[in-house]
Amino acid sequence: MNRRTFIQKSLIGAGAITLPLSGYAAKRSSKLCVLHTNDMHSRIEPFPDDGSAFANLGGMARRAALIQEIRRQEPNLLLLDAGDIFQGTPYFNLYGGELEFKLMSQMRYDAATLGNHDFDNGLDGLEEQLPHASFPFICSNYDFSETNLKDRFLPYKVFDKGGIKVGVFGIGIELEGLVPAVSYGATRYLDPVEVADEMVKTLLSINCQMVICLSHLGYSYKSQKIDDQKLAAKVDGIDLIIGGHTHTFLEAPTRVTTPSGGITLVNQAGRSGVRMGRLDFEFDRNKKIKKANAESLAIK
Amino acid sequence: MKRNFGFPILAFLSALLWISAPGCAPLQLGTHQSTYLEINERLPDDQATRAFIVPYKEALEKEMNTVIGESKKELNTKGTSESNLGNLVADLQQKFVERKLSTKVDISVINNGGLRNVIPSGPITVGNIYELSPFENFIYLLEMHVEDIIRLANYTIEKKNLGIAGMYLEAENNELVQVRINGKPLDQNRTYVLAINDYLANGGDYMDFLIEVKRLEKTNFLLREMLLEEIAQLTEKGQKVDASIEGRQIYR
Repeated sequence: MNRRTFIQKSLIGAGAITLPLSGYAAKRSSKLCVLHTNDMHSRIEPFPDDGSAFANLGGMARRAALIQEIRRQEPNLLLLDAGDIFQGTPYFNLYGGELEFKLMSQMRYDAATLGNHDFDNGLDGLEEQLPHASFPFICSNYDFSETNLKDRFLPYKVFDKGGIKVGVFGIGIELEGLVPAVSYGATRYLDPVEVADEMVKTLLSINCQMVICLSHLGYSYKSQKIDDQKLAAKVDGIDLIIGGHTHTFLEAPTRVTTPSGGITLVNQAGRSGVRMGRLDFEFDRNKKIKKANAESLAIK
Repeated sequence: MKRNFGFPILAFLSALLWISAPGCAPLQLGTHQSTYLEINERLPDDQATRAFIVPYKEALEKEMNTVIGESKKELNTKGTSESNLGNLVADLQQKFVERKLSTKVDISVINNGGLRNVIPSGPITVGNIYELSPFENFIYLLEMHVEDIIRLANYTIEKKNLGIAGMYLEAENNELVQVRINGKPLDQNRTYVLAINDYLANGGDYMDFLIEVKRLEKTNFLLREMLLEEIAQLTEKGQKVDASIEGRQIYR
């Protein structure tokens, strides 16, 4: 069953009991605020004030303050990261990612996916740091079943944010050629398109109202290599792809048309915690119920 | 979807489905707004986060200030391709790989452009080595045939950007006139082991000719770890870090 049919079917059902539902709906907020980072690359402190391109930008203490401020205004907030948390400053070389994970936990990240650099200290190095992360890692297309990290990651997670069910899955980049083989060991990379398709079906079948893909594929390649835009154009049902890897600074999310003519938003927030992306979604409950009424009337 | 909803029982079942899972109310993506938030100096630090970072920062600074050796003089990449710093790094890389992998390395190469700072005269700190080698470059071993060596020599003469150990080069008017490996002329009947970082082995700095060369070993030894370890080794033996331009590459 595709998403449209599901929505129609349920709405028609809803039409039969309009009154109690509108009462129920009115009690809940219908807004969702999504905050996202990617490729923070161990940038704990701001870039030095040395006249370089990112001079004095970034810094996790500042980001924490900003997130707290937004949390005060937005009860339904989802805070996500698209990978490459590790590597880039001596903080990683010395502490192996401990501080990055602890600070992200304190900021109450809801989830992250793995980037290629998160394998830089090998599977053992990653395993060692996992206890410092109170948020889950969502990886749908890496098969860790033959590794020591078996069952340590989630294929997807459903978040209930004020009654809105948001399904999140994670897509990682092909590791071969990008990460030394000894670092990723027996991790198997599965086809992003096939896995994404399967994830969307799963998430819709458990009635998610929104589907988000955390991706470390990269924004766009001229070659055939799979990227966020190609994924969006090949897979139906993803509302938002939060990307990483290519360190792309987008002024606004890219709208990609899906195979069935829907729209998937693709966003990315540069790198090194210089930016944080913010998307605010409104879910118009009353309108939908009204529409359902009209449809069910038409069927009669 | 064409379905007969004239049967009240179906509508009722759907309604039941709806009621039994209120969290699954079918909402559709409506409007959205997006923006990006720049993390800049106008934002105050969250004080709790700041305080949490401080001990890590202090320990990090202490580590970075740790002295691991001493240099006789400033080592840098000044020179025509051959430089004292390039020679040093190429030599250390060769020694490191030979010790770690118990294998003979015939030629060791480093790109001067990858050496991002000087080694100052006097005490050498961990931080100095991080500044010298900030990249995550791994050491590879390549199996070089004579033709590959000639390409490497011609490339060096053209670009003049490599520090080399194990290979002697002579060029006149930018034409190769002599190559020797460990003092010997090239031997068609054998192959040579080249130690080089993955950036160059994968075609970086226009070394495309290395992409197809057989990999004997793709180690996960970082260039930086190699430098830290080798300098510590010298210190342990009571030796200072030193290198000179000694005529490994001759350009006339």
